[in-house]
Amino acid sequence: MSTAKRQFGGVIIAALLAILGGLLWVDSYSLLDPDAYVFPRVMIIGMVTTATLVVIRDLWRARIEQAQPPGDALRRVLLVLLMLLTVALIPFIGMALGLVVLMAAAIELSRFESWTLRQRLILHGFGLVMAITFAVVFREFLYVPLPTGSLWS
Amino acid sequence: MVALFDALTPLNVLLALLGVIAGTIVGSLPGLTATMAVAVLVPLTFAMEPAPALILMGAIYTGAIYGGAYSAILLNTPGTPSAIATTFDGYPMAKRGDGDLAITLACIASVAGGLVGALALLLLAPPLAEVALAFGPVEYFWLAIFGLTLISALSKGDLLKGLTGGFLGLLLSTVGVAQISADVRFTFGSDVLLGGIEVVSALIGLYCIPVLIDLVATPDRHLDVTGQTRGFRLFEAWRLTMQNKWNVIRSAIIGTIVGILPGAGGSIAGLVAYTEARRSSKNPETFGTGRYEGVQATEAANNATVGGGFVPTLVLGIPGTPPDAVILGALLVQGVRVGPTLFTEQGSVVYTFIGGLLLATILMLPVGLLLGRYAYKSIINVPKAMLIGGVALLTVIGTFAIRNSLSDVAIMITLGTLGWVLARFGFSASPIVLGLILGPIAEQGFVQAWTIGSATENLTGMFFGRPISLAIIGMILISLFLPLVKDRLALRRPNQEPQP
Repeated sequence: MSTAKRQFGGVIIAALLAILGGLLWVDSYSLLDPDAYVFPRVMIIGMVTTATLVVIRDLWRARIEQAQPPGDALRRVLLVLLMLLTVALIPFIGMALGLVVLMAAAIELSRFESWTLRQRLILHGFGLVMAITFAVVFREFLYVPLPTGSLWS
Repeated sequence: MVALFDALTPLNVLLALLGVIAGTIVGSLPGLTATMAVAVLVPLTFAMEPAPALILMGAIYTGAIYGGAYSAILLNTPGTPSAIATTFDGYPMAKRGDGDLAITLACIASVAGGLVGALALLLLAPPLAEVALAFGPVEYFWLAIFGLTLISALSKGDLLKGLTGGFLGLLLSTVGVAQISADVRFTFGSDVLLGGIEVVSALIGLYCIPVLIDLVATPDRHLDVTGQTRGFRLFEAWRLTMQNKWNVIRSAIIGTIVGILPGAGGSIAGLVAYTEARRSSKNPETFGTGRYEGVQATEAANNATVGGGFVPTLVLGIPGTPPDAVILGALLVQGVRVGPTLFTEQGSVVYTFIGGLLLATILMLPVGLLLGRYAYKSIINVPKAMLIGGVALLTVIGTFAIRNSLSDVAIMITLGTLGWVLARFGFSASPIVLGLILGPIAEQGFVQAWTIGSATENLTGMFFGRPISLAIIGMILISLFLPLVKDRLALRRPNQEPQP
């Protein structure tokens, strides 16, 4: 990404943060106890001030250029969606199965070259073992109460 | 003092060794904290004698702080908050193929820092505890702001964006139930945000998810390793450590002093030491591109906080860090009464514990080198698809394990995605994470000072009239404006040179 594009994007982000500060300021009026709002308000003033300075500074030297970050944008979006979907599914299918699904899907998503059936089986086999090992270690040795899934109860 | 050598029984040595191994592994996994490792172990120690129990817990804590460097160097994801600054130069070193050297340097620096911290605990604990007592609420507030200005100044040269990120982090730390008044703040009616934003979840999200998002998009290798790996590179690391011994010693002293301040912790210590290493370097502009001095400074400082943190814990009964609090609880269960007279009345237990801490720190050298080598080889040899899947899996289960909350996992992924977007436009993740870490300390100090100042009708004097506060404010101003002055001078200098 070029510096000029970055600066313009920085203006947008800084403006959004300044607006967020304004929203939080308004929301802070719902708080009755001064102990609850005095600190956030001081920090809001700080954030809005610095964000506004970023906007002013970078508008001065901004140029709009079309540039794309390197790499496959679709894969990026799919990875995030995949992780969020796994989190949404875990209450129903349980943590262990959720991890297995996440691992298998992430392996496929990360595939750039063609794999033979043997390579694919080995990778997914290792992925399966890793997911189950993590689930067992966290549940049995670290005593973390992993969700078992409402579908199976 | 003779009790120091009581730590050298076969059982204690074995426990220290096991503790360091377990701690290093736990610390290297994002989401698993030193606090969790020590807390899981506490029930097991009830059946032990006090000294072996303390040695085991101290060894785990020591190992976990060092273990955080592995993922910081190899994955750009600090295993523990104290390893945040390790990512600045450790990951660039790994990217260019020097990950093995970075791990060995981190190990040597951690051992040196740990020894300095433990020796300070042994020799200077009672007088050093007085330092902690000199800090009131307002000093903690200014200390937190100092930490933020340091990281903002380091934020890839853009101070304003760094400060904006720091304020954003501080504001994110206020989401949920307020720590002082118990009001529900900034949740906008969402149950997911009711529990607030957990620091380690945010740390995992903001550091780990952007790496995953970038890894999955291209077929490039994760680390640029060409040819054969070059072993531990121990002699090279030792030579570099000797060349920069003052950097390591200074960082260890900084870590010990910051560690003494309850709540300040390894993240501030690492940042202060990193900044000082950068300031004193002949080439400060190259920091952040893979300078070994940066890794040395951070790792020496954060491991020195272990010994430093035990000073107020043992002498004042005020835990310096969350793992100290867990160990303090275990001490009380064991019948050890902490306080100023601890070193005289129950000296044998305390000195055996300190001996164990020294032993664990020394054991960290072979353990750290071996585990680090294994971690490095694993990361460079594992197929990229497995690495992405494995890290994604670990972020989910590791974040869930912190508070047994799927909301935390959703917040972690969302924050990580936002962090990727912010980073693309020059807003670095480090100030946001540090703001989250320091938020509770800053807010508590600010609100207490504000309340006292309002009651005494002397708000200005409260915030700006105390000597230690003024000293910290001075350091804040220096950290903010010194880089600007230096940049201005650097711009002028070529113009003053005579033209050929």
